[in-house]
Amino acid sequence: MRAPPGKAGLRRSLPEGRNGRGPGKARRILCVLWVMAMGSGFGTLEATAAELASEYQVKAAYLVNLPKYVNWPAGAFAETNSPVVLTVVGESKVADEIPMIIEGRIVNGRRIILKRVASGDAPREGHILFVPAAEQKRSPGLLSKLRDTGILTVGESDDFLERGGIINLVRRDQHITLEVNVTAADKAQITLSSKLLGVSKVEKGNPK
Amino acid sequence: MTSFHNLSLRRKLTVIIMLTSTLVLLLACAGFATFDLLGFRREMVQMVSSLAEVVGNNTTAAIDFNKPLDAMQTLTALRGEPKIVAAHVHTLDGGTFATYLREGAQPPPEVPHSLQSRHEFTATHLYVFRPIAQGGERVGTIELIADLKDLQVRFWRYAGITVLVLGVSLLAAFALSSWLQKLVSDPILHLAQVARSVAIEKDYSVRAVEQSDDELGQLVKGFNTMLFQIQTRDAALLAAQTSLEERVVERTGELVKTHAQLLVVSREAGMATVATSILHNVGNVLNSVNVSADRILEKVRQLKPASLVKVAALLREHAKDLPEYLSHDPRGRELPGYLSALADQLADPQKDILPEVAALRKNVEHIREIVRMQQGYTNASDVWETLSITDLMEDAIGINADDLAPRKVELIREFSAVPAFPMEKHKVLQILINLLSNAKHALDASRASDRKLIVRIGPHGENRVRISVIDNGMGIPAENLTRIFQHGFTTRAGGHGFGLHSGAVAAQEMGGSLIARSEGPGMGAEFTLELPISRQGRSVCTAESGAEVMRRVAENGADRNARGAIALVNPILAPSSPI
Repeated sequence: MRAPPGKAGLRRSLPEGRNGRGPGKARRILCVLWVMAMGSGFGTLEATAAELASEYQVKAAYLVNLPKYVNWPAGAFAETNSPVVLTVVGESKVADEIPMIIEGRIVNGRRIILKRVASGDAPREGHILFVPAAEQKRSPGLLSKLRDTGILTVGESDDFLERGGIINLVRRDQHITLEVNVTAADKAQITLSSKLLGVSKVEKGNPK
Repeated sequence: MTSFHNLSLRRKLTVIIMLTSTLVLLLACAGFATFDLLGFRREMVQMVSSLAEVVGNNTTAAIDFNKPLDAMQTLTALRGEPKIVAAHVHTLDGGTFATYLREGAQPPPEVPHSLQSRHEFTATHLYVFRPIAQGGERVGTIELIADLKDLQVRFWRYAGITVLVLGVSLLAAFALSSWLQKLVSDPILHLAQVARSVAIEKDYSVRAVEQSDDELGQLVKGFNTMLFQIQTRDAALLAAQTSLEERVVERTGELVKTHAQLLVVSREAGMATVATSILHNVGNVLNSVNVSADRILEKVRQLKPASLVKVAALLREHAKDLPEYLSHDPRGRELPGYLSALADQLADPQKDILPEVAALRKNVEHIREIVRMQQGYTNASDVWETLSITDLMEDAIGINADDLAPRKVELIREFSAVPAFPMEKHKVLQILINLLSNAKHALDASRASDRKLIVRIGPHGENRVRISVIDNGMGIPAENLTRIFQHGFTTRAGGHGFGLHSGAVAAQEMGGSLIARSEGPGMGAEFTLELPISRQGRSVCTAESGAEVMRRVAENGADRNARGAIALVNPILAPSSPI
């Protein structure tokens, strides 16, 4: 698909987007994401630092956006307006970004609260559990402990889905994309919206 | 507008109907078209809004997880809707996240997009903005742009239909109105035609034909009634005119007759006036004649003819011895002395009688003159004599002297020198006697102790003489001042009401005038006779025939005494019926 001619003038010597998408468009989307993720203030950072910061922010944004597309099993919430608990295991720059993003946001009538647990902990409560890549390396058996808990596990490691994680945030062609293990989700009795599946890479791997 | 006013009724009706039809049709078509187009627009907005919501809803995950390509793929589904020429997905910060442009379509001009749900029509496009939300949270806005070709096509189709309907309808309206308007215009035109023919030919016998029983029918009926009335009135007028002519002829005849009769009457009245005049004037003089005759009678009675007869008898008895008787007889000797005394006694009355006889003779002469003068009216001969007015006045005073003397009236003569001038002696004398006689009566009725009668004669201007008779008697009320000259007007029990009238007429005939003046009752009166010294300018008067004078006298009488008097003499004059 061609970009509108009026917008072609924005074309710059920026990295080529995937699937032949115009570089102008890609740049614009990036900008949007920055703003979405962290508001203003980062535009002045150096490119590499900016890109790095962007990745944390994007992932944090994705984590916060996920509850809109997820249905937890009955009884996961005490009340209809009980908050969605987002738990982060161990240290992560992504976790640092989250408080800014979740402030004041109500999703499906629920607030989102961040809960940070120490590395190696495997909390069986909460609704979303983010396992940073470092934590995944440190305690590879973590995921198995969380099977059938009704917790949506999200990771950022290449083998995350293979180890039984439900959603993996991976970097592909300078973009953070979602990979979903629907089998694991089914097992956790978590329903993922078709919209989410529509924008994700769906894997039906056998959870170990 | 004026040209429209002057159009014929038929044209006017047609124009009105056509204009009305056109306007109504245009309004109806415009109404329907507007309603339909508005509905169409509303439906279009609804349809595009639904599309926007459906499509927008499918782009939430793409926005949330930064998948513009997915968003674009979603938008591409809009290919199935040919109306949609373009679509954009905007993020919350206003940036454009994904865009769709229909194949081969020109990108429509941008409008300021909004985060709120709204739509906007431009001349060519419809812009619909709908918020995109997921999980109760706004994630962006979708903008769908539809072209309005359908709407325009629809609009032009309506325009075409309107023109077509208008054309066909107007044709039908024209045909129908041309036929139907006759119902209204025909009776009116017929009426107008009849009215015009009535106006031009003045023929009120024509009638308009009633074609219906509506207001027009009533109009025609009213018009016919009017014509009928005019016709009737015309006929009546004509009849009246004819009868009027007849009556005028009749009346004229009557008037001519009356005029002739009046002439006769006035002539008779003139004669009566003359007779009255004679009686009056003669009466005045007869008074003096009577007085003179009485005195003569008395003087003659004082004569003692018996003594003379006795002397004559004695003388006859002693005729044979007359000397003896005269010288010896004692009675005979006294006879001469007796005779001389008798002669003295007889001579004395004669001295008194002679002037009386002279006066008597003068009066009789005046009477003769009066009669002669009245005869003179008939043969138009006036005698003009140059006389002294003072002498004439003295004559008049003399005639009245016997009446004035016993009344203790102081007679004052104020005579200035005036030349003798030509006058009709007896007319002037008559006037003067009359004035003196009037003054005498006025003084009789007055209770004033010093009764004065001033007789003044003097010139007035160069050519006139004024003779005034002034008394301090009973005077004349203001309302009578003008009436005293009228024929028949008198304030005295035994008066004729003729003296002043005839005096004024006589003065006029001589070119003079007779004027009365009085301050009022008890203030006395002054009568002034003015006469011209020369006869210039009086020839007309004098040349008048006696008959003419008589006629004028009669006219004056008729004028001043109203027709009642004449009507008494001649009842024909009284109008029997007004014309």
